[in-house]
Amino acid sequence: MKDTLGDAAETLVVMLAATGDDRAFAELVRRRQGSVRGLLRRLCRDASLADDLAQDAFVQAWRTLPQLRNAGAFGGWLKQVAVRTWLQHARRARLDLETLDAADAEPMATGDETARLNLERALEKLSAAQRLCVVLSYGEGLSHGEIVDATGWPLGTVKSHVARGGARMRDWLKP
Amino acid sequence: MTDDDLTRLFTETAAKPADAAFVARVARHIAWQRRIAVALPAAIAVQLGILSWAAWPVVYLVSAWMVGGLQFLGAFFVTLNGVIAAAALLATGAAWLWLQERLGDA
Repeated sequence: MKDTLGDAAETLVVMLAATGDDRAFAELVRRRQGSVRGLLRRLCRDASLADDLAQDAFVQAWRTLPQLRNAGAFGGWLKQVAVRTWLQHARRARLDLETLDAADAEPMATGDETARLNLERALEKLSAAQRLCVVLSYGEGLSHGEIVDATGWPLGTVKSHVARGGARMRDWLKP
Repeated sequence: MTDDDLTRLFTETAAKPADAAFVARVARHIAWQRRIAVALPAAIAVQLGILSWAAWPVVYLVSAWMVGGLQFLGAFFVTLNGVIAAAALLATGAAWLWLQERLGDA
């Protein structure tokens, strides 16, 4: 059974999981855990917290999966669930989601630091809202409209966060 | 640095953590959620059933004795109805444990 599911098309596995099949859902977790945990790690700056939130996101997905009408849209839908889980955490933790501009930061050091560390450091210096929009836009390839759907924020706010956050990142990370 | 450079940097440095322990952790959490979803309403239903069975005599006693709340509470658990209420609580606990054990084996 496990091998069969491992080879099955994701749409089929999603439909099976939506009927309450635990093995099918575990297969979805196995396939998608990397992208969900990676996304949340970039947003959280704390791997342990990110994994806790990823677990919450998968449990939420398990609860609401029967409501998903298009099994082919599972990947994007799961990403939205993960973003909403992070937003709930951000509100509980009273992270500032309103501020448009993050504090200014010095340009990243170059040389012995790796590109990944530089990227993480640059992300840390953005405001929480800008970080979310930049990660979703540049890291996950979401359009402005898709970010609006995921966050529930107005289009103008999303565009502003992506533009300002992206400009700051480019400035900080320029060679 | 251009937009494309930034996108490429995100792609090249993407962390893709993957381990079986995380899958097992999510599966355990879901099993626990399912257990609560089934066991809690069942336990509450058992408790409400037994307490509603015992409620009428209690109401009768209260109205018959016409005493203050504290005096009534002190006397309640030495009456037949007090014993029934205590038994209801115990039965609820036992039902909870039984359901936990049954669902844990499932």
